[in-house]
Amino acid sequence: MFHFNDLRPEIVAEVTRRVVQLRQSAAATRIEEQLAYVLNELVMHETKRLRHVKPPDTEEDRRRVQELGRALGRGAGDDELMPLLERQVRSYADDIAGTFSVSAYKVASQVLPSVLSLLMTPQNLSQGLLHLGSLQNRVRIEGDLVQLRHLAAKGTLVVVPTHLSNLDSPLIAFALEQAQLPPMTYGAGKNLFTSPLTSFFMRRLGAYKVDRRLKFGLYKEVLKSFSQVVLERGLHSIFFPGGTRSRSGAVERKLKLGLAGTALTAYIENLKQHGPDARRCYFVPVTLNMPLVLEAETLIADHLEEVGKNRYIIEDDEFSRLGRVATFVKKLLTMDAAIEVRFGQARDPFGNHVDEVGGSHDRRGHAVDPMRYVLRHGAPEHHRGRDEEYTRELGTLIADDFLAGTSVFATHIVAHALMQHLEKQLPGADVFQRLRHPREQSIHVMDLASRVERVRDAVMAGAARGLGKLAERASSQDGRALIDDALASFAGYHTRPAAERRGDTVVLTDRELLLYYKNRLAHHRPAHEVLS
Amino acid sequence: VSANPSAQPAAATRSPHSPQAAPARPLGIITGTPLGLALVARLTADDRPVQACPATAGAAELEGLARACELLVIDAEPGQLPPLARALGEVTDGNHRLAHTVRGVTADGLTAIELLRQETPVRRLGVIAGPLGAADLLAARPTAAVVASRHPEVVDELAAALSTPRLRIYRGRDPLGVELSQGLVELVTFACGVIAGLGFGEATRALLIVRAVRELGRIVVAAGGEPQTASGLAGLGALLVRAHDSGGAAYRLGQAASHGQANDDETGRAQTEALLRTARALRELSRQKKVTAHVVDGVADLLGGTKTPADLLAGLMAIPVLDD
Repeated sequence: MFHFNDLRPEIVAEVTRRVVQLRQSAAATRIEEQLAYVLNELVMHETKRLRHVKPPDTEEDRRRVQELGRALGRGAGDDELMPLLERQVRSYADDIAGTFSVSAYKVASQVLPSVLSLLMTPQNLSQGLLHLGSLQNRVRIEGDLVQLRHLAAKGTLVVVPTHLSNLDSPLIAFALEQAQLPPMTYGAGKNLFTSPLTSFFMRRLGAYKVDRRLKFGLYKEVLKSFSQVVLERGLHSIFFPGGTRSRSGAVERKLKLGLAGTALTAYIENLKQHGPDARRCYFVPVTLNMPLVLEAETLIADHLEEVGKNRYIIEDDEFSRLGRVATFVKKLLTMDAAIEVRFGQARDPFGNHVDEVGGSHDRRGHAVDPMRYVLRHGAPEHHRGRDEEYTRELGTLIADDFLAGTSVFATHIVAHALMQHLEKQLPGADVFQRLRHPREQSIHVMDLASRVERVRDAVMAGAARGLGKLAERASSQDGRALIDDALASFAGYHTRPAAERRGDTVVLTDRELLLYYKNRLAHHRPAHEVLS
Repeated sequence: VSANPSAQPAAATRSPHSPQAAPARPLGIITGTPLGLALVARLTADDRPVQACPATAGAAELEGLARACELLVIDAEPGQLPPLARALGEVTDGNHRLAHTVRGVTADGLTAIELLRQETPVRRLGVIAGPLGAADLLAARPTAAVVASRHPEVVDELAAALSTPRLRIYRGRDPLGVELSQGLVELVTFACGVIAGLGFGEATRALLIVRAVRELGRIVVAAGGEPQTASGLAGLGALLVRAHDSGGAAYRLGQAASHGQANDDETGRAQTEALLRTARALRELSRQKKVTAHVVDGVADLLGGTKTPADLLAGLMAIPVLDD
């Protein structure tokens, strides 16, 4: 990444060249891929989007599209359309590509965590400057970091984290820096570039812009090509394979990998150019675990309204309100071991585990040559259907890695026990009836403690089966302590707490929030069975 | 259109049995049942390049086959598969493409593809199933099968390698559905043997087959497969043949069970155990997925000794009647 700015012009040029070449060859072989058709689709979408130009879009964007539209309108031939296509593709590629600033990286990686900690935990001032770096104290980073450092030096890392919150991007950046792993490029929604503070750092830390409003094929081709070219040049990358934040709060199970799939294409391209010693790609699953989620209320409401797909870009959630972010961060920073970042074992693009020196091993531990998976008639070759299937299979394995690497906090266990209690109190009711039933629901704290301990034990036993691990801060707590921890976490951040103590009972005060936190154990059959 | 200019299309359109489509290297077939032997004989007679070795072959012979052939077919009984898969794991690599004809689940309750994925480095895996049987292949009577894989190369290459003027190969993208179909067909074939042994007629058999296909469809869909697989060659197609095949092992075991006869010989015991494993695995799957599976439950109870053939029949006839 430190050389990204030097590579940038060449990357933009190469992306433009590839996409234009791809369009040319497609137009030559398939009638439905004719240039005029493809550009008409683009003009239709872009005209609609640019009817009212507002930042980050520009008048220049509109003029370019209008010129393209006029050329199509007068029935221009490919000779005239091709330069216009090239100009449009270059514009998209240039917009997507970010920059990298060493000074901004130093600020972000060294100063920012301390400043954040200082700002958010003023009570630590009384203890002197020793506590400036308290963010480090709150975040546990686990995994074979030595191996990952070796792999980063030897090949290209493709880091694939879970995704619950917009805070995941700064968190993974912080964790990579703490793990002494190199800075990486990553895709971020263009909407995140509208805030001056986030935009300042994101523009300079290798983030590339993904404009989710542009849903037509050509833009997706540019984006994919950009990702592939970047990976071919050995730039480490971060992709959130769930595509968007988990709306339900459950661990992501259906991963599309999307752009991450370009790592395989990049690997094959490198094999074709450099032979068997080509630089390899290593997928690194990472789970980001917290007892609370900043945007939980909005996300679960969105999930329940089943409009998650329509509201792919939520711009009015808690992340957009600085006060809520500050309260949230402060809440987390006052909790020991509040955040767990777990790096899983690296895999090659075919799902094989990778050893410290980058060698691939199948499930029995036997060494395998990854190049053999992409040979056709003895030479490495692209094959769309095959490569898509390899990527789909890899997604299944990474989804399993996500489960195994998930931390279960007191908030999840208590929410699970409370929602199971609600289910028993309202037999036969569906989830919406349970959530909206007018009768107040509560449970005696001793009864709840007993249930919580059963769930905790099931979680501990399930760790060996890859169902997730009990969070460190929960590992020494009994039922009462887990309840106290969960209720303290719930209190004071969300609009109203998910549950609260009243005398000897615990009252379910926000069932939607409880459902959200309970869903972290949705995959965990033993945790369900111990209470059924 | 792929982001890469040199990417290949997902699936090429090919004529059913054009010589140009067949791979230059021979198709390797590991033979563990009469079906595999008949397949080798049929393809050889039709001038298709084939190299065969028995499922009981030693490491050197398997290695020779794997070196000569990138495309392999494993024809084996479920019980033969675990050691064979382990041995193949030593001689195969990521460049191999592999499909199997194994009917039923292995001792660990895994489908053959799951086991092969565990024991070998091969990722491009598939399954061959359908009405094709040894007798039809040997007699050159027209027959058909489906090759199912998530990997298009496995489907395309095997369709090219196996298609002959007397063997029609259809392509499928639902290997899990096909493997589940293979297992359920075995159970229903067994039940058809029971029906025949009890002296019931074609109407009883038709009732069983139709309800079993519906049941299979529900299980396949719940497991993530495609609904049409149950009524395709691997499901209904295979059932229409095997339900009348009085020479088949599962059918004969069913006939014997209808008379309360136990299997004293080693082969019979192994076959009964394989059927019971399959029945239990399908029952567990249907329970996990909350799918009603009366036929699977009944056959599992019969094979497990908790029900007699008369109980089974009475139970199935007493199920509340639903819309057809």
